[in-house]
Amino acid sequence: MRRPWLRLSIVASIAAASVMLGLAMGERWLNPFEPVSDMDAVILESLRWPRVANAAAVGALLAMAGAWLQALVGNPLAEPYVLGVAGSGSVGAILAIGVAGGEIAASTGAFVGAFVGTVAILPFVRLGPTRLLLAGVVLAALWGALAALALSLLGDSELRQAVQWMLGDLGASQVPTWLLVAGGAAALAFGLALARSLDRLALGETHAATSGTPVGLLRLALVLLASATTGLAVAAAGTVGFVGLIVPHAMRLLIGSPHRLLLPASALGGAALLVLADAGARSVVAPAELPVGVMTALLGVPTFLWLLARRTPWRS
Amino acid sequence: MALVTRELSLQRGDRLLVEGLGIGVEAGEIWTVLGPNGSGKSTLLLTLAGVLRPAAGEVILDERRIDRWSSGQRGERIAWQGALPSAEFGFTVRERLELVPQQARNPADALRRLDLATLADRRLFELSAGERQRVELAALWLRDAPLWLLDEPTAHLDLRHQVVFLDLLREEARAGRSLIVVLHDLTQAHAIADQALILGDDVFHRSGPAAELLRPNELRDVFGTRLHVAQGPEESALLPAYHPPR
Repeated sequence: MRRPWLRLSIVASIAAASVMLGLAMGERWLNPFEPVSDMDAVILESLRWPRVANAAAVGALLAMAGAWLQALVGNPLAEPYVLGVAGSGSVGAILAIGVAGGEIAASTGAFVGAFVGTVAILPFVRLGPTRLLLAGVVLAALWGALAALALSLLGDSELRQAVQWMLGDLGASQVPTWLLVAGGAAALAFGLALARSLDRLALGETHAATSGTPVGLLRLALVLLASATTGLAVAAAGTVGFVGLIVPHAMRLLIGSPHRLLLPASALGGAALLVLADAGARSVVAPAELPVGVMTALLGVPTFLWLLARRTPWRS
Repeated sequence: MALVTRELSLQRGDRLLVEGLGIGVEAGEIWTVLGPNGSGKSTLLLTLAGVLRPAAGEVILDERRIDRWSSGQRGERIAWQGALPSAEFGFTVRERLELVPQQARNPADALRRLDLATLADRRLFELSAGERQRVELAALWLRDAPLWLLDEPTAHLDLRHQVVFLDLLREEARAGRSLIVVLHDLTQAHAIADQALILGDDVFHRSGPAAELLRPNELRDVFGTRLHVAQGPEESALLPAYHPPR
């Protein structure tokens, strides 16, 4: 891939433009650089900025989690939502809301749930992509059923809290914005430190092991990283699917495959995608809002089917 | 002595492939590993590389058991070439070669030696199997490890590249590198090997000087096929008899 750093800066510019658009768009259009009234300034500061920052951080987390899961299972079709990792995160969060209630419980529950979901999918990694994806589908159905079961056992006020959380409301996120942004930055730093090992793992387990990569340790690190990022994203925004599939795929085409480029590009691309999806979600039927997960699924499902229909998943 | 195995037994699933294997590989030696499909050749190489654990016995590398070296230290001492890597993630040839650890040589030279210079910026999945095999041989050639393990290096290659690469292996051995090479072509094995290890069915194995073992009578039963020697003006070839006996 020629001039990857130039391409990366183009993705960064697109992300910045998306943030500006996300700030401007909504029930009421406003100028993010120069609010014309006090009312606009208040909307911008207390509503739009936190929401756009949340969307950007969650998008970046999900896109990176997708890239890590893909390297972990050696298959570019892997993604937190497809493999059921996001679903198990929801189950964890709902249970935590039921047992303890509150933001910290939901986030911790989502993280633990995502970890359990990642570990549950690992035995199927060795059985090849077909069985891995089937296992993901079935496990996702199981997590969905368990989530329904957990919801049916909740009391009224917890139920409302859990349903609101499941729909994914980036405006009233359960997780503070600073934690999302800090988590995203830390995850990116860890991911970049592992970039070369990730590249080698993408060649295959034997190739990685015979190149001096401690494959077992690396896998453990990836399981933890992917669970933590998915858990954080799910805790903040509910189940938002397919960002982890579309974004790394597009970035491999645009920027290239080495993870030192792919991870920052995916973080920027994921941020841009979710900010735009969220801006769309609150604009198309304003003053009502669509859940942002609906927007990403409407984009993601066709992409996924299109990828499945090709033998080499993302051949250009 | 670079690499020694003691009472090594290999298992794949429930099946015992090799039992009580003891070999010693010296610096600068070329060993060839021969045998029918499923006799344990690839399993042996991965066990020697420390990737698979033996069912019994041990592999000693530089006077230390293979699993006592860290994965990084093993990577400095042993290089492996085998099944083609996944092309799914879309690495280019150049990016693939950047992932080679302990590079002793210049990637541009590796590309030139294996006639890959014009393919450097192509993605792996755009290449033919033979071209991808050459990329893997280039990746191996970059590595500074004193022991190279090669699992069918000439697979997929056209005739000229087979000849060129075997010549390159001889050059490496002369420079003091130890090579263990799984081959299916007996003539190629005969052309490069100092020592041979023959793996057969039912944990049969035999090792010794290649000149003694690579003979029709020694190999006929192992491969279950008749063999004959074709004497050319410069060298002789060990060939299977393709026609049934009259």
